Amino acid sequence: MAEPAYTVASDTETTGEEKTSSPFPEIAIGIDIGTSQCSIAFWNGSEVELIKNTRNQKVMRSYVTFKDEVPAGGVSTQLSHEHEMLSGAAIFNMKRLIGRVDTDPVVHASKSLPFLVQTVDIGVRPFIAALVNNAWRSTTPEEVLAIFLVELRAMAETQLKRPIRNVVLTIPVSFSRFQLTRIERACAMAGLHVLRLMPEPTAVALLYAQQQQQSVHENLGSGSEKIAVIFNMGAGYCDVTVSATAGGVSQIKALSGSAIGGEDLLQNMMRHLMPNSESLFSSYGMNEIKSMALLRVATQDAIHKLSSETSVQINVDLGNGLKVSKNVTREEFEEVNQKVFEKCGSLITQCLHDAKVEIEDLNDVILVGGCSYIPKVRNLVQSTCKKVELYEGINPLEAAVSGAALEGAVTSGINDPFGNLDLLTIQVTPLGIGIRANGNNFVPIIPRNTTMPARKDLVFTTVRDNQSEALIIVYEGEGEKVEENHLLGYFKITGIPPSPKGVPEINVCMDIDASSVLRVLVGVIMPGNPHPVIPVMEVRLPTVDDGHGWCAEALNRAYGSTLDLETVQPKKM
Amino acid sequence: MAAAASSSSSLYDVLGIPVSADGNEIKAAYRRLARTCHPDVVATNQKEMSANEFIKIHAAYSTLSDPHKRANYDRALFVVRKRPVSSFSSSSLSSEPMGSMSRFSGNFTTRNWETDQCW
Repeated sequence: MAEPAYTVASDTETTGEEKTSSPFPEIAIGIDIGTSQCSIAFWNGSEVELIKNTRNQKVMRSYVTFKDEVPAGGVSTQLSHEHEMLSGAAIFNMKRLIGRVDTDPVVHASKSLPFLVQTVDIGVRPFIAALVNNAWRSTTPEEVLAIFLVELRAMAETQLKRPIRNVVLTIPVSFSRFQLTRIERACAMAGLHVLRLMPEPTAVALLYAQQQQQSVHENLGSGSEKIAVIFNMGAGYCDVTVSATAGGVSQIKALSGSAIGGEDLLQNMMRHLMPNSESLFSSYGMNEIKSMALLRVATQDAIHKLSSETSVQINVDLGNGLKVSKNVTREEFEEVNQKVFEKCGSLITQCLHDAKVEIEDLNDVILVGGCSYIPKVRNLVQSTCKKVELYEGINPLEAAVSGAALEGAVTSGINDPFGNLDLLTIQVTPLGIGIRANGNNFVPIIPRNTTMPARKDLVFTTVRDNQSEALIIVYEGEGEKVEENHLLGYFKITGIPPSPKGVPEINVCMDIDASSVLRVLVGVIMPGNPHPVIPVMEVRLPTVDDGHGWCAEALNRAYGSTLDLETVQPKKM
Repeated sequence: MAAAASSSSSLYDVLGIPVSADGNEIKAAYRRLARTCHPDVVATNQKEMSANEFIKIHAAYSTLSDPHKRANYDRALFVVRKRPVSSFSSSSLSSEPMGSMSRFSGNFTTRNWETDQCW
């Protein structure tokens, strides 16, 4: 071999390779960190069990309170939550903010939260801070999640009487790979090793696969393939999957998702109740924060009541002479949120279309997540899928975490004598992955909904004579222009031999393994020589850090099309 | 080694099914192979090989489970089989899902760069 192999491993990898000394495999636990609520579950040897906190709750609020020096999460101290929310000390909804830059509309929409979310709109991370002793204590979504995960971990370790290290976490479908690195970062800060990040509806699909398998064992089911739509809507995200299940194998056929959820319903409703609230509270004084929090709590209560009642009377004194006194009907609530509900419907339609599944072929429709109790959401799912009956037998609030715990047991190599873990999920990519080429176009190399593991390549070429370098800029998303997509990283190919434009074959290959690790390999081939003329570059992505929005713009400004590539149509197979 | 197909075997060979197999048999064969070849179910040291194996199996499945793609494939397969084997490359019908890049990841030494920038 002429070329030596270089490996520069990151610290994520080395921590991942640690072996436990115990002769028994450590069973990974499942964690569902929701925008508003979280839960933790494990395989107890015969079934999935959710862990309860000292207040006997299986589902806990996801928030952290900063007061004095020691922050505390909602796992152990919940009773004072609402009081602390009024004082600006409680930070929550971090799953909506993690890994987002301050130009992101989702970040802008978070400014109605009763703590500080500031943007300067240049593509850096937003400034997030809690009010502690009348001063702003800055924090990050990663820190808040880590504090929370430490508490969850301690709770699980106390109850299971063993150290916890490996976890399977559920994540929204629409998360970019960069956002996933932030989740892994938060886990690492909490001393947890992420075995798998699982899109939420696919965790539910795994639970469904197990239930189908059990009914076959009990001779209740036919054992034939079942097509299911799973719709999951929580406080921060709405996700859909279509899966084909038989024999314990859950083949994910398509995924779709968006950052819309209960938080949007809440914000729209707050705006409806108090149209000028944003300008009234923009100064972030103590009183303004208190008013924002009071309005939020009252609106949330009203939305909850509207799930069972057709109208609700809201009477709340926000202080500073501000009062809201209004009767709101369910129709009004549905009307102010019409766009959110339309988007939910379109996510289902798109997912069915991508899965190439006809509505008549659907066996089951599964509705989970906190928003599944909202009558409009149920109607919408039923009418879009043309199913009167929704699948019973899955707890909407516990489904995702239970699926994560199952995946944890399966990927830890645990066997169950009754075959309850003879399960497999075959995942697909939630977003397309490609590079910038032909100006500022995004050219996908691995399209979305490609089964993983996957490896695909596309041939590119130079755009100028004697071009010796090419910039490979990797993006993830669905937009036609690069700026509509998430930047994952970039690197240069250097030493391309002098030749007229269009002659070198620059082969860009993308490889995703079953744990969803992305690697990009680039090789250069010249006509008449079957071997790569320069050593093949293999890079693990993402490589960008928090300033990636800023960075993408700077890259465009500095280079424009000077180090650009052009796609060569792939040869007809 | 359920599907240790050589690069010149047909997609039917990859799934271990007869050319006459119906849709349900194709799905059943795919699931059976996935249960033994998917990287999630094999030992840690076999993950990379099993990933390649699974990519082949899935490629075969996605062609044969789509009636239109299967019809095209069957026509091409029929044409190739009628020709003398020696004079014609059947590479377009092979189960190898990769184009030229498999050369890079297989036979050539690659330089593998990892980064800790995102920390």
